[in-house]
Amino acid sequence: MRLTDDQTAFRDELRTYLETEIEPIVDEADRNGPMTRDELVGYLEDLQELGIGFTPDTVHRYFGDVWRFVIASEEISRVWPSLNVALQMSFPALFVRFAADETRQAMLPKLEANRCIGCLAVTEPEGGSDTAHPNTVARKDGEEFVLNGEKVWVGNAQIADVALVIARDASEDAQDMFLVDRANADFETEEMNKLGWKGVPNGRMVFDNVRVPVENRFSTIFGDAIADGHDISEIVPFPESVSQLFFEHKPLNVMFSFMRTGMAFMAVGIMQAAFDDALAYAQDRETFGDPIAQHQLVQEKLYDVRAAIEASRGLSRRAAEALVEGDSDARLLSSLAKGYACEQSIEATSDALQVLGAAGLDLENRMERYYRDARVMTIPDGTTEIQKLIVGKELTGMSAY
Amino acid sequence: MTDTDLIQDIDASLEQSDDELEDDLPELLGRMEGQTEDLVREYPETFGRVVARMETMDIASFVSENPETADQFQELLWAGMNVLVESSPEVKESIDDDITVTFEADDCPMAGHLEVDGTEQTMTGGAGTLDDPMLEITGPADTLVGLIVGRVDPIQGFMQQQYQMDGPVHKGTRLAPIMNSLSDQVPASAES
Ligand SMILES: Cc1cc2nc3c(=O)[nH]c(=O)nc-3n(C[C@H](O)[C@H](O)[C@H](O)COP(=O)(O)OP(=O)(O)OC[C@H]3O[C@@H](n4cnc5c(N)ncnc54)[C@H](O)[C@@H]3O)c2cc1C
Repeated sequence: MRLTDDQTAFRDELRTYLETEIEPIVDEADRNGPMTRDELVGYLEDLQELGIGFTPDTVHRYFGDVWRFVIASEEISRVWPSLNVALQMSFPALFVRFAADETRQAMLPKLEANRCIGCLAVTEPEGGSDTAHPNTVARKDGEEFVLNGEKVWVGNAQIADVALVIARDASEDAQDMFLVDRANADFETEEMNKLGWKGVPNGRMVFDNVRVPVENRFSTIFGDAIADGHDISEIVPFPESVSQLFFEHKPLNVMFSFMRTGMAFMAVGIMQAAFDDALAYAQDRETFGDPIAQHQLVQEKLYDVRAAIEASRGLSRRAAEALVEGDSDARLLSSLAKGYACEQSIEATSDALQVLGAAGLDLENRMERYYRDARVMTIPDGTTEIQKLIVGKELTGMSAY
Repeated sequence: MTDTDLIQDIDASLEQSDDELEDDLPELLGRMEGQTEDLVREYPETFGRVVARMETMDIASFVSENPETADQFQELLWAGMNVLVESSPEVKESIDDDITVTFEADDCPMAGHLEVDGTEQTMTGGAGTLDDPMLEITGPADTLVGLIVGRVDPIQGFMQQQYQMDGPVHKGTRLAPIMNSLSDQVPASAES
């Protein structure tokens, strides 16, 4: 796969931004814990200048080009994985464009000004991986749905303006999603602390008789927008090849395939950062009168990490290509890449940390952050076990979950 | 026996319980054969009430128990739709693309088709499948009938995975507004 001149320029500009603006502050920012809303808005403003984000002007260049999306995921994660997560998890904000009037009035100006933060609320305290059977329920009451339930671990929960919430639509006895905007309907949140991805807020959300207009049901958002003559690519601004998979794989699964491919590249970015530091350290640090890079067992570690990166990057690119081509293997490959690359990132950062000896454990050193951030990768967005079951189902046509 | 007798009998059956209606339906459908379109054109309210009753009927079990009437049952539905299209400028206006669709139930032996002609601005449906349709829709018979008569919103139903669709996505999204404008014209759904 070769990047076009445009994609190469995009990557180089992004790298320059990350090196000059994020790299100098990342250690302290991550140590300070979850970024505030204002901090995220500041980063989103910078990223928008590079063509990254969810404003109506930007999103087609970003989500509309699979390569730009995955380049951004890898490059940002090489410097600060938490920033990548806070950015990506904000994507539900883009659906305010076709939501109910009250939501559009409250949120569209914010979205246009790049100040609308989104979150995707899927996981529940009971149920976890079993996302197809949510306990959160939406009951129809006149022209509104009344939402009741609880979500956990939701990225951006505390700072989000809008939440896309998976719930059972009791009126149809079907699973659907509901867009809740905080200007018109409030919900409680509570911070949840975790091992890695320290810079991104994750939280519990409690929906207690939260009322949303019928037009904020996701299937209705879609239906209304299409009835108004909007093209599917305006509603979910994926390339046509990706939305072509909507029939075969279902729209929600296609969104997951897209995001999971991004996660696979995120794991590659973390591994690359750990490898670069380990290689530099190995060439510099001396024991027994030689740089440790001279010792065969250290070279073996570098070999292993580099192999993990190349294999994971290759597989992730294959998943991205499948999306670009609208290949029916896109779901299989995105789960394979997410599962594989995220598992590899744990091994690879562990090996890279070992190359640094005690320095790898030093809290003043980045390596311990790479290791902690990598350790998180195998759980969100479907655990590795769930990715294996998705691949299994795609391969055999038999569902084990 | 005149049309009026037949319509009176249909109206009388519509007053009965679902089970009794299901018992009467094969005979009534048989009597309508050959003149369904004319009847729908002349007695739109009765047709509207038949459509409304389909919402409570278990269509899959009816079709499974009366396989020989499945086609007649669909002919009634499609005849009604054909008449609606002919007589409603709103529906005609919404037709701007060529689309062919096959509907196949996955819980009973029922299959139908729809041909939308963008140039002629016509839409005709009937029983049986097409050889090489652009779109293939599969799902429970209740849902498929719901799609045809407007009880199931095509996009919402798809998003909620009430049925499956295969074929080019842009054709599917073009079909949805046409189906919607059609179901807006069904007398029963217009009333509700
Ligand atoms: C940092 C972070 C960010 C997150 N962000 C979000 C977010 O933005 N939005 C959101 O909705 N959620 C988010 N999550 C939640 C995440 O998606 C869930 O944690 C994940 O899906 C697993 O659910 P669980 O933790 O309840 O584990 P469980 O489902 O309880 O699983 C426990 C273990 O059992 C295994 N397991 C479960 N079922 C099976 C099975 N059928 N076969 C084999 N093994 C199985 C799992 O793989 C796992 O190892 C986030 C989580 C974290 C840690």
